[in-house]
Amino acid sequence: MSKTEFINKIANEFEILSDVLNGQKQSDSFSKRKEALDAFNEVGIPTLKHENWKYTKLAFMHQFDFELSLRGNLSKEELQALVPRFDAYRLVFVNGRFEENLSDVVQEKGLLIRNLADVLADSTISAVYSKIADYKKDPFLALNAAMAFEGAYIKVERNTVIDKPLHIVVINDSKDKSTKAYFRNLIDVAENASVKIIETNHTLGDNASLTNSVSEVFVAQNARAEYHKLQADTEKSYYFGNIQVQQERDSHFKTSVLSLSGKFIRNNINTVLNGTGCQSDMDGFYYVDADNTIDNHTYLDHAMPHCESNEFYKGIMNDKGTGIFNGKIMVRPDAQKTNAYQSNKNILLSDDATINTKPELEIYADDVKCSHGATCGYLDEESLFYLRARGIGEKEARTLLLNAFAGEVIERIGIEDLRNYATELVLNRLSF
Amino acid sequence: MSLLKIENLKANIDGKEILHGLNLEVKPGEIHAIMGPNGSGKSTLASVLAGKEEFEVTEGKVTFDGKDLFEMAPEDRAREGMFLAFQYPVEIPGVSNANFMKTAVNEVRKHRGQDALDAMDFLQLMKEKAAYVELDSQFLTRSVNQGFSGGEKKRNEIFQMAMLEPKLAIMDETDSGLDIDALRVVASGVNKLKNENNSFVVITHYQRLLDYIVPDYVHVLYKGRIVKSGTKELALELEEKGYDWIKELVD
Repeated sequence: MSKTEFINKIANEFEILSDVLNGQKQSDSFSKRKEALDAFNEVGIPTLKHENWKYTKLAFMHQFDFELSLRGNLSKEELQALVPRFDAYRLVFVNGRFEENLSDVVQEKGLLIRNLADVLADSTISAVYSKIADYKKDPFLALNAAMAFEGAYIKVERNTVIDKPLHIVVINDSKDKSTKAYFRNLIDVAENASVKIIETNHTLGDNASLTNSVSEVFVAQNARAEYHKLQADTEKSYYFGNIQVQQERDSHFKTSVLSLSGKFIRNNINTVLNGTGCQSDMDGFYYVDADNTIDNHTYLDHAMPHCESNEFYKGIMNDKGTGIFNGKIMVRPDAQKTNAYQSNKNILLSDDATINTKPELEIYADDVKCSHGATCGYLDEESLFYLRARGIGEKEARTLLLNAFAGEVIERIGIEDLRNYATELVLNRLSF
Repeated sequence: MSLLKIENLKANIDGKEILHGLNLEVKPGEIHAIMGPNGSGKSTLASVLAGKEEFEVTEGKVTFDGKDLFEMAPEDRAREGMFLAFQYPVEIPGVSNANFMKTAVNEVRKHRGQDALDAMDFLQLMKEKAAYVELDSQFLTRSVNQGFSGGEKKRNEIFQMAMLEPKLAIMDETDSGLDIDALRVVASGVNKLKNENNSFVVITHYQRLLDYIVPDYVHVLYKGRIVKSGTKELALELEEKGYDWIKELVD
């Protein structure tokens, strides 16, 4: 598919979508969609010449004939077999559409959950929509802004603490054909409130599936929010994810992203520390094998003083897998007394595997503590020998070491169910 | 019958021969000390016996408990009852001491045809053995050697030895860098483990250790061979006169 054909296809899909959105065509939000589409068309699918896509090959976007799908067909049994059951409220989205019948009923005081499509007409909500997930930042954000129309709107009212996590389940039903779906969340955590969110993505069926997921998160003064992603999808799944966050003073935000399988995964996490005294943690683990690609781009923007950020990413690359880590930390002139720490450690299990790691620190304040470290290497032979010298077989010793390496990230997850499930998945993936 | 028999052992690293035909025989219940100047091949000997892969054995034969040692992978040597106390114990982040030992002990038990220990018995055993070397039981939940002091690392080696109950323990400069209190703890741990069936090969630089772990035999290793053997008095002589007279004797 040529670039022109591709753009025509997208334009065509936009038309289909416009019909679904009938009645909104005259609205402000619809003209915003058009602007976003124009912004995407201007850039198109990025090539290796784009700084943010330097190591990320996107040729598959032209090769596959992903069909925009606006409705899937998923039974409760299929859901049960596909998705782990955590002690959490489950919100299920299939092919970009909210599936109320498959979702849990949530009744918690101070917690409002709606389908985003139903609330965008509300001017207070449309005023903040796309404010931090600015489509000019990234072509896939732009594409999402143009095409996504359902997703979770989650509002946690002031002083409300939600103990039970919310599990956002993103499913592509690819049983009949290759499927493409857009999906968008807006999460608003008010002053002193607290919430934990888990997002998992899944493909049902053997056909290719492409997901474009965007979450916009506002964390108000003194609030706490966690956003965890677990990605363990099929060998024909392609995933573009964005988490765009704005933190106000004394707030605490944490992400952890565990990417364990999938043909292609790109995660952007972009956090602006917009008040003093913020704490922001970003953890990640990725395991890439076959000829798959997992790409993590993070951007931490220290805009205000006295904030602390901790970034801890680890990866294991096997076979012909490609891992990419790009972690940018910006410390603006006002952001004195910033503490910013970043670490990215990688293990290569094969000579054909690749890791591109790039820490980027841009510091414009003079009274700050910032550090970063990136390592790439093979599994430590000394450690392996040490274990074997105690009677542990080579295979088992490798498994133990690799799981310990991943475990350092996983054990930082505060949600027990998710932690246990991830530990088990990792053990499965890293037993040779 | 001998527990360990080394005959004419020659070994290389990176193409350079370090051991030039070494002979040694250790019988059950014996403690042998191996001393020698820097670069004489002491640590190479320990590594070759434990099965470290960067060393290449070019000639000779080693029999361990009647079996050809070089036919066995490192883990099989350990399962058969050989133990190397490392000169530089490795830090393993993310693997707890308890998990490490549980895996190791159960692998060894499996090899001996014994059932795996259940969690309660295992914890009991670990606490008991940790007390041998005065390690606080809290250390069990910490990652292997991570953030340990030099003394704690060496005590952890002896703890592991106590857990695995080897037939032959090779201690590679376990005393190096230890203060006198830590040295006493380590030595007393070894003495508690000592019985008439197991044997120790104690590689050391300093006679000091041998005040606490009393050897039956002392050997001097120089230029990749054992050039002199004697009893514990030889160690005292080395302490007093240094190695120059040995070097003159050989060169």
